[in-house]
Amino acid sequence: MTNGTDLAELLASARVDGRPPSVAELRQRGRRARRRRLGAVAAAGLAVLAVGVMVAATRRPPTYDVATVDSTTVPPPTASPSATEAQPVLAGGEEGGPAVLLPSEGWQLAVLEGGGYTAPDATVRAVTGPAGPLGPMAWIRFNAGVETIEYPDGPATHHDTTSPAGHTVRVGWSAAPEDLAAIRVVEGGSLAITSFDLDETELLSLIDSAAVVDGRVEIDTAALPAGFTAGPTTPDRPYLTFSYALRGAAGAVNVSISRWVGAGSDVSAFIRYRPGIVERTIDGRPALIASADPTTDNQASALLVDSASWDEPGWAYSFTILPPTDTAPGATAAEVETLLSSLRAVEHDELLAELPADLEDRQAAIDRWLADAPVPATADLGVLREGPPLNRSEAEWFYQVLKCSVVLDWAITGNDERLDQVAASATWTVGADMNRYWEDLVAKLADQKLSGPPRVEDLVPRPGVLASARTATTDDARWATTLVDDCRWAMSLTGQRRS
Amino acid sequence: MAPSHEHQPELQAFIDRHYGRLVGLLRFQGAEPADAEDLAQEAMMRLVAGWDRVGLLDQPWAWLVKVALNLSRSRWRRLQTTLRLGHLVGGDTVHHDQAAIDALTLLDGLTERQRTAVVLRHYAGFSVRETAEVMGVAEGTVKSLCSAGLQTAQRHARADGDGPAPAATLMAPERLEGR
Repeated sequence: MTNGTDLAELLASARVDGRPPSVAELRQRGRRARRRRLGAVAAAGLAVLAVGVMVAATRRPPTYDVATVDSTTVPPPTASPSATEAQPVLAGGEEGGPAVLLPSEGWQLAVLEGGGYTAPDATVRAVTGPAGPLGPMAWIRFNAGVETIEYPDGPATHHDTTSPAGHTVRVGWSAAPEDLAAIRVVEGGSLAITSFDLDETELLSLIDSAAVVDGRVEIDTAALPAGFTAGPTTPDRPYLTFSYALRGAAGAVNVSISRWVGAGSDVSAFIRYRPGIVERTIDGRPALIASADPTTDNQASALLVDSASWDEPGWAYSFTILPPTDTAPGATAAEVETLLSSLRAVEHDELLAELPADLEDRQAAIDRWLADAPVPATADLGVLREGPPLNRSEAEWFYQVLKCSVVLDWAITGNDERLDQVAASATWTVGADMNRYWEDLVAKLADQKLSGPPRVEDLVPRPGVLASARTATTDDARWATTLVDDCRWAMSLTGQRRS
Repeated sequence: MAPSHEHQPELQAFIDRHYGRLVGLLRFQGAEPADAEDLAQEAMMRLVAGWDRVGLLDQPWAWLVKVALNLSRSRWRRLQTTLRLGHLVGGDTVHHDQAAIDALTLLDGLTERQRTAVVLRHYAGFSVRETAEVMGVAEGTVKSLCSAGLQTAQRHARADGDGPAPAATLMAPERLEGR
């Protein structure tokens, strides 16, 4: 080995051997993989979550620091919330009964149980996020009627102001000016709201509308800023659930996000969103949507991987996309499509692999990619049926359309009954069904000789595919799309199918 | 999509002929031995599932390489690898000859794309055009990547020649074998 030309020679003569598996062994492996994929949806999801929990537990202990909150009654987190049901975290109270930290999607409300809120002379502190490296987003002291707001990096800057309804409200903020907290004295106690996205005017309107009724916080949903919705409170869930909505050009599809930070705790993430990019998570770090993961709980979930930890498996965040018919009345198919376009854009492995590490560069790369994504005006999918090769842009576009359409239809129709019915009887094998669906779709599009974007109704997949989209794991979806990609690539490589 | 049983001898022969080469390709791409075998088996599994179709292609070997490279790039799969509980079937030991060990050392200094181009050209046996198709780049890009990669390797080889021998060349082949 004396010079570089030897590398070519070395490679040409190199031998790497292993015992080739038999076809039967590979089939067995395939069956095992399929069983794992189809039979352990929850297990797979929980496994991923478990990694996140383990990593979080290792690196970011979900410690509710007793000293920090100055309370001796903070119980340790005990219950492990399910993947689909956020649990309130008892943060403890000193004199006025237990405080409840109320994680919700996009918001956190801290109120007190046992009377609903603080007694006038109570001193209670509630932590709105885990202690540790993440730090609490804010923690609020209810102190004998003198409410103060503190943040991990020191006392909050605050001022007292009068809300539109005439209430005196103390508004505080940390070093991050958008990290606001507001406290309003209400009858018999105090009500606090923290926010990570509202401006002060919006926050004041919201806290004006909040009230404690029969021990439950209620809020006038009309007071919510445009694009936000509030879920109902129930006796066992006496706090508001907010859905953080997409605002602006991305449409009005609600996205609620929760992140597991350790056993027994579930902390909402605040995610600012624009097509293709989730700008930050609860800890202010950028994140991207890595893959879609439909679940069985009337929600399509996705996996967020913290881009700052791109190569560190386990930094996974789950979030849910609720059917627009449930959470975003008035959302149009186009709006849904806008969202899903952003999803499918960042699903692409190659794109992810090529994303620059720097956030600004990454955003620019994604923007460029999205700009290139529109359907070529000259695309004629009829060629697929005839046999000649697609050019790369056509094939790429078709692949994206296909990949998205499964999710798109479900997101638009939200027809759970039909999905469940089909799911009960469907025999789903990813390869065969996806291939058949693919060929059906090809034929349909080819018949129409599309020269532009297909209509949504043209892309409705067969029910079996929809059912699988509901029950399949992320792995299934990725496997299916990879299969299609392989098929597409093979066709482009060889020029035509020989069969 | 299970393959027809009448194709099984042909399929097994294809696997026997290409398995080691595929594992080697993935090793030269930077995969650890166990991961290279796992990736190769995953790709082979898809080959088995789609043999009725893939077997008719002009270049099933190119198809297989492309699938394996896609798998190796899959972010999600890397996550899965972390969770892998040992699904390897059959072979679980990778053997390298001395030329492979030396090549691994020289490939260390190349960028990922240079590595891919050089390995596809000089190990997998693809032409420039085929390499370009597998990588999804222009033929000129393949040429420049290969040229730059070989030059880099040449510089590293000269540097190594002035100093101590690369660690890998001092390592007995069995040290680099599988798990």
